[in-house]
Amino acid sequence: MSRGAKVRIRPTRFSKFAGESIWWVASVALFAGIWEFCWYMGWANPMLLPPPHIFLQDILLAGKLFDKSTRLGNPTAGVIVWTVVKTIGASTLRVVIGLSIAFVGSLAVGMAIRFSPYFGRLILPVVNLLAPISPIAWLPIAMLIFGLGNAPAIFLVYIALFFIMTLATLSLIDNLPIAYLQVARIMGATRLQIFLQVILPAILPGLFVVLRLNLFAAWMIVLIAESVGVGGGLGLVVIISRNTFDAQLAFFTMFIIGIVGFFLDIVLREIQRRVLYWAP
Amino acid sequence: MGSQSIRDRITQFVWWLISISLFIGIWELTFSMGLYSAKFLPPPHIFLGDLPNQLQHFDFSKANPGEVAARSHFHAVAKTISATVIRVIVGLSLGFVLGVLTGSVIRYFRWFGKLILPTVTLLAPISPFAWLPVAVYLFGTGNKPAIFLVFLAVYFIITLATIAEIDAVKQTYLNVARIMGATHLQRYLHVILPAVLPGLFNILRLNLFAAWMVVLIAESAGSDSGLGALVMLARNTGATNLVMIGMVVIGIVGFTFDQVLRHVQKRVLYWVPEIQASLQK
Repeated sequence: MSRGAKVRIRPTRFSKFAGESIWWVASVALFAGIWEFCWYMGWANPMLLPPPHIFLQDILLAGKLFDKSTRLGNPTAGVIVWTVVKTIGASTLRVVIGLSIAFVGSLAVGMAIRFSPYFGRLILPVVNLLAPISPIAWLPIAMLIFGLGNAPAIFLVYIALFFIMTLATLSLIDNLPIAYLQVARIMGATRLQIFLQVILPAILPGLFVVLRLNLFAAWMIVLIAESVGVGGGLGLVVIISRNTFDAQLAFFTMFIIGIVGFFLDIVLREIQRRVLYWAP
Repeated sequence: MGSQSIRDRITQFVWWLISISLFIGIWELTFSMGLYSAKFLPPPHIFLGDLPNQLQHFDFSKANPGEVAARSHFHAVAKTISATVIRVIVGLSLGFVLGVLTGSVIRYFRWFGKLILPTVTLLAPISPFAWLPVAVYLFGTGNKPAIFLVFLAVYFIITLATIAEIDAVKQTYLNVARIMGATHLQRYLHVILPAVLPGLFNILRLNLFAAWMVVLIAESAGSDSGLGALVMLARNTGATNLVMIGMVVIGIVGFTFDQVLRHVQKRVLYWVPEIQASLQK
């Protein structure tokens, strides 16, 4: 090797990570900087658009408003943090339960529609009829049937996903490469075997992607259900902040909702990678 | 679908009728058995029979002093529906155009992209509903906050999708364009843009659902017109017949909207091969 040759070092994982985080910090700093500058110049009213240093300054005061048990009096910091965590947990749990029921339910109904043609002809028109109704319109029905508490919120998440994902299951089944089915049939698989051992594993990865795309809508409908008072949760805090014009609380809640939404997506992505290992 | 014989269509229609009447039949049956009262979950014959009475509630001119009263029930219904639909269309168009623009600019100027992208990924997972207070602080009530929320529901998703689609454009396309001497700008306008638009349009259609949801919630929280305000009004006054009628209208409008977008997709994006288009249904 001649001494003059430049040895190009391939970037290690660490240096790549460091490079990315520097850009990340620069970007967020720029964003926060512009916001702070607008506040400093008096263009952004701190009552309406409080800059980060104001709405992050008194987290405990905002956290106090998360639950009615801590809203009055002088709770300790530990109690406040616990109620905030409990509020986040309540919303997240509703999303996760609703998502799981909808995923299993739509997979079962979708497969059944294609498995039994008569069942399919009987059910599919109703699914097509109910699918375009926005979950918001179901909200009054959910509250009439289930009253308050967890059930109506979970029901709405279920409604938001079930019809879309049933239709997605059908289109995934219909678009399977015909070769899969032919090979299975040549090898003597029964109809049930084809459905359980060929079609099911073939459509699961695609269906999971549909689930992830609709997480956004599911997350939104839970917040909406909570905002009309099915009992606690982050949605209620959002609507309290709107009704009391408490901008500090509004931005703090946005901050938390963003973080939770971000992690939910990461968790789903990780599940997708681990559980559906056979997907390309 | 055009090759379908008339017999097939008739069988299909008969099955459709059986299915829907079974659904309605179960509903009516459980009602007539007295499992719930009409105040609670009115069956179709009750809330549709009450339609002539309920149509007057579509007129919001009593709630808004400045507004002229609707000439007829039909006029009131049309006004309420069009208020919502216009908000959705304006928000969607703004979100789509600006999203594609932002995504392209992020990939076109590398340094700018590196500076902006983290902020976009940071703001993207914030649910549009959490923006509601901010929308009200910034824009007050009326059309603007609703449009702003629809815009937000689409903008970040489209921006991130544009970036993903640009990264997925086949290298061969770019190589060919470069060999033929296309400039950076030409490659973006004539190769990348037509390559990514079909995928983006699909994503827009998938998110129509979320946009449609957000406009209803924005109307119910900070507006005094539109379908969202109607359903919330019905819920707050316990008018279950009106709730049901609102659901039917929302379903019909949502369905029509999806059909129109599908049609637009087929017409405008004519360069997408047919086979692929049928796969994306």
